[in-house]
Amino acid sequence: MSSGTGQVRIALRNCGVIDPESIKDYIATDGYDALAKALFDMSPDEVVETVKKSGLRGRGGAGFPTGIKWETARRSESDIKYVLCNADEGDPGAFMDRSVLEGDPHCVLEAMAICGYAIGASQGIIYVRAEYPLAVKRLQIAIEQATDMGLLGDNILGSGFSFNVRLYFGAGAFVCGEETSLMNSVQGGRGEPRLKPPFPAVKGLWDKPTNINNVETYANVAQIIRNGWEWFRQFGTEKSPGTKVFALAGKVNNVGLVEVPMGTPLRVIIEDIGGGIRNNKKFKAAQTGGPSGGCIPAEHLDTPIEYESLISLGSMMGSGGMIVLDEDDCMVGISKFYLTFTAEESCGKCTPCRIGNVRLLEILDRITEGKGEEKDMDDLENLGNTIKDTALCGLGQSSPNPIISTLRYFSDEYKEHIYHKRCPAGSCSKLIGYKILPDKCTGCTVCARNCPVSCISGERKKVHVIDQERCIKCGVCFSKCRFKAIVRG
Amino acid sequence: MVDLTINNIETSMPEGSTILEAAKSLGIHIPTLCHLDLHDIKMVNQVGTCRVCMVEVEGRRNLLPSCSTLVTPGMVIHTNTKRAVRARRMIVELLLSNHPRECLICNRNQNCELQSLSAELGIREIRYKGPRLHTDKDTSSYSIVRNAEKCVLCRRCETMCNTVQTVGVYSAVHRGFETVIGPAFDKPMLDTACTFCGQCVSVCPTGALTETNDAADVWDAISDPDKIVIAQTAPAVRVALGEAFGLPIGTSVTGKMVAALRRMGFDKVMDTDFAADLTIMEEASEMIHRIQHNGRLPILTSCCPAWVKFIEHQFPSLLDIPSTCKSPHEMFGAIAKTYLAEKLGMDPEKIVVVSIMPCLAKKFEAKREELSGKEIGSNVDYVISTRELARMIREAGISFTSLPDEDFDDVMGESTGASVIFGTTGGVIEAAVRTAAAWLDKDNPSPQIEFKALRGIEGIREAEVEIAGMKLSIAIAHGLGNARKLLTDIRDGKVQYHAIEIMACPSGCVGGGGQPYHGNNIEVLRKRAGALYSEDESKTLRRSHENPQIQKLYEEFLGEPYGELAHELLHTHYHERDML
Amino acid sequence: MTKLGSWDELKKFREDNRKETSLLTSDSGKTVLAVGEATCGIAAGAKRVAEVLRKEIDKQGLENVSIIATGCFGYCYAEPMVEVREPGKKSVYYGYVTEDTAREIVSGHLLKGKPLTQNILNVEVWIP
Repeated sequence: MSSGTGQVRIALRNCGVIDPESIKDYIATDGYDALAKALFDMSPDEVVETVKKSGLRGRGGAGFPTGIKWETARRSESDIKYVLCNADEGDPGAFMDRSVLEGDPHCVLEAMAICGYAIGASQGIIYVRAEYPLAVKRLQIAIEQATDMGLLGDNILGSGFSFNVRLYFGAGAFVCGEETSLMNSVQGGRGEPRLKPPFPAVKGLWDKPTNINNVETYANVAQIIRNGWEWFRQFGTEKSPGTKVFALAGKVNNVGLVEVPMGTPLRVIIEDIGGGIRNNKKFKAAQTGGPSGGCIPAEHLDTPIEYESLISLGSMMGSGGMIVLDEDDCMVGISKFYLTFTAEESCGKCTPCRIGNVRLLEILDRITEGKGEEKDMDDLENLGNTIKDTALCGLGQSSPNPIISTLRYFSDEYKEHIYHKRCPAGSCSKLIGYKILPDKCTGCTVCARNCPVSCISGERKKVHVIDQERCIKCGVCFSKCRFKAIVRG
Repeated sequence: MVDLTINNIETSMPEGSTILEAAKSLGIHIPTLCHLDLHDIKMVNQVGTCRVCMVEVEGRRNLLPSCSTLVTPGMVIHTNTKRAVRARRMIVELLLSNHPRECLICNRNQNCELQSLSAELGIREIRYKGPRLHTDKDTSSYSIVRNAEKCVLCRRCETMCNTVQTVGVYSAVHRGFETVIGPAFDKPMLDTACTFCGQCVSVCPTGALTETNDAADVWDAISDPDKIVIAQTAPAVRVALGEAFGLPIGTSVTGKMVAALRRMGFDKVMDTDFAADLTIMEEASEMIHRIQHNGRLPILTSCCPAWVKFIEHQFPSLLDIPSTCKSPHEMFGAIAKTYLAEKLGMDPEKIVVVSIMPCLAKKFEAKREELSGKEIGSNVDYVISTRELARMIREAGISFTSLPDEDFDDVMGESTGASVIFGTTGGVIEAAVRTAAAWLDKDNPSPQIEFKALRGIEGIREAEVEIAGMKLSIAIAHGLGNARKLLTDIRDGKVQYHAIEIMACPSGCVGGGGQPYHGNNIEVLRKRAGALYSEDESKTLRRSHENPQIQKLYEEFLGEPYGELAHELLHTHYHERDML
Repeated sequence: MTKLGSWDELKKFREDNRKETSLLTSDSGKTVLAVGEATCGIAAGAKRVAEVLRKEIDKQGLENVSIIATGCFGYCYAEPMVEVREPGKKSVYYGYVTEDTAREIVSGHLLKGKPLTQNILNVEVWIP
């Protein structure tokens, strides 16, 4: 069985190691030492400075420097400030944050308390998906334990600093992962974004300065404080220090959660850690960044992964979803999958996202149904770029990315659909058909017996025929035939 | 000041200005749709949802909405680059792709901001052929029709209803392409706490929110030979109707309006102003009565039906403070179907009273059960708004501007200056004070007429007037958000007044939800109010109780003001309604 | 639970409890079976595996062995997973653990002291 070569665990250091429901375990792995160090050995400015120098960037998507956020929130004058944790992980296939919350909830609490000390806040709120009941339960236990032991609450460790954390449950809207939507939701409003600026660090929850980071970002903080920024910078690259957790999924042998130093080539993740493509199929692309990201083709497999390189490839880091696609995946279909998701999850506030995404989807629908027109690719690109250019929040500004990136790397596949009404991957059901080759058919009847709509006929030991009118193109016959007598095309 | 460059022109703007404001100061036009800034009435819709006003800012990755992006030092802005213009056109194309393009038969035809925008940008083709959103029209209320299919989600109605009026009927419901702005739980408008003030209609850029159309019923009544159809016109109508026919804003068209109504076929053309004088007789009496008999104070004016519905929903504990007086047009109806019928020998059942109002809430009010009598049916049969009247005049082929000036019919057509100013904030209370002053200060040969302390545009105003040695403290609020503040303080015992006037619409009835569209210009409302005060000044009789027809009405029919018959015909009661 | 009033108290608490925790088995002399019980592991059957382990340990009277639920190991494809932590030894990770494998872990690895030959996962992660 394969190994985890190349993995470095900072955010996941305790996941799979400690009992997440035991604060003793967490403390035994030097838990809450970073908080104590911050409270007793460092001034708030020093904490901010350390985070700044570490170069830690937001792990939720855009990669904004965490230290700058903290510094802005620290400088914003206000009687009340908030520390918010975005645990509204919503990308399809992503579960980095859930794993951290389920495996090491205290590390998030500790980081939030450190942040509270740094920016001058005494209230923390974790906005967590209600669909993560186990994460919620373990967080509740952790908050209770930490409060009981005086590691949260009033006068933490006798330092005079007080910090409380409470949970707020998200109702499952993807857009609530966007920070201003999330704050609207916490305030009891509709989950929809508002204009920025003002940024949350200046005017956030209830118009008070608010620092908001996601779970994985916080999961790095205690280690940075405890070990110093120089320590953190030994991992990763100059512009993207540290590690990144990816949820590796799709057609790879070893699906799972991996944490690698920034700058690790995609190939290492897919081939060494992921164990290569399943069933010896051919790698086609890696989809990173979820619905906001794009597809990276084979020719860029050796690109070191960091925020900038992914953007220049037309994708993005996103929260860390990585879905590996092989030769059987249709790139038009993949675009359609993600766009269907974003169109449904659009909050409907701004025109380009509300209407534009649906119009894009309609074009994709046509193409995958063999009704594509010559101008469709131009329309997709123009409309896609305008949506990116004009949408109100990150959701809309990135929703056309899957289309734009597949148009960039896989335009031939689009052309095949549009001009030849063919799906090269054989996945668009309206564009494929199955045929029985008479010279190869042995008349074994397996196909006919397995056809769910009984549209294959033929006598035993005689050539069988598919009734194309009734065929639903499910592909069962194709996979059941032992003589390669059925072809797709 | 912030230095910046727009389209290669250097300029500086005060801190906190938007790019749109900066461009405007240079005479650079940027098309907008959702944006609306009526800061005088605190109606500032700066939500940046439509994405029409996008501009290019050097150094920024994306285009930025000029309506809601503040200028920063050294900003270099381009408003009309190919990229910005293309994006803008595409946004409008997207909006149109989801819009029922039935402009020819739309209520807002030729008066629609989306239509104008499309014309301005010269949109000639809509590349996106996908289906548009289909929703049911909400015609449940008697006042407002909600057609979400025509909604562009500018959120102006929401800002108006939630922020300015604090009623909170509208919010975004559903998600993505299905998102509409409407009442929570898709409730029909009639079942909500909507006051039907119609301010949402006033700011709606398209035909998504419109008044109900009662013109057909009125035409039917007019053409029915068995019916005697009486028109009555509210004070604010005459100073706004002319706008619909291209006359300068603030032109009073009373005479032409009367002439037009006659030509349309109304049997009698009378004046709600007459009933406003009557209202003052009752209200001033009630005020004096309450003051002199240690009654519940303050007394609140009750002419505004939107405000009445507001207090029923929002402040049920204060239902004993509004005056019990019916609103003027309802008083008119009650008198028309009794006194007038008797006097002119008409069968009350054949009388159809049509109120022409600047207001949409009056439509709902006319359907209130408590505002109909056993013998006479509804006090008022139909209510049409100023906008509907303008359409009917056009439909009838009447050349409005060339009409002669005519006078109202007798009996219920005479009015004083006091009644004219009912149409603006502060007017009702000033009218009441004029009469109260004259009554209380009997020895004074020339009691004060104008109480300018009561006039103004501030959302909440306080004034003290001295009448016959008695100091009356008075408060005035217009706009329901201001009303809420005032009522909250009253309920909590923080403030004490003798009398309060509240009008639901910002600026009062001149800014009513049924008036010609103000074109997002608050100056229009001021000019209309100015015209009312001029008309008041030009009248010989300026106190309601001096109206000879009113005096006659009491002599011949009602007896004492605030007396028994007056109570039966001219007063009403209120009931508690749900908060939501 | 103890309320910690200072950094020193925190440090002392850490030292006092090191032996009791499931982590540093070399100090405690205890063997720990860690079952990956994040949502992914539970969905793959980790709870049943943990139960079988517990039963088997009881049955065999292994008093020096404890079972803990830990978070996600990261090897979703191989869930349910069990890690065997023995004092002074390198951890052994088992993947694709069925109820039968669980019994074998107890009867083979724990009782006979020899790791199984099958189901072993080569886990190499560096925790700096």
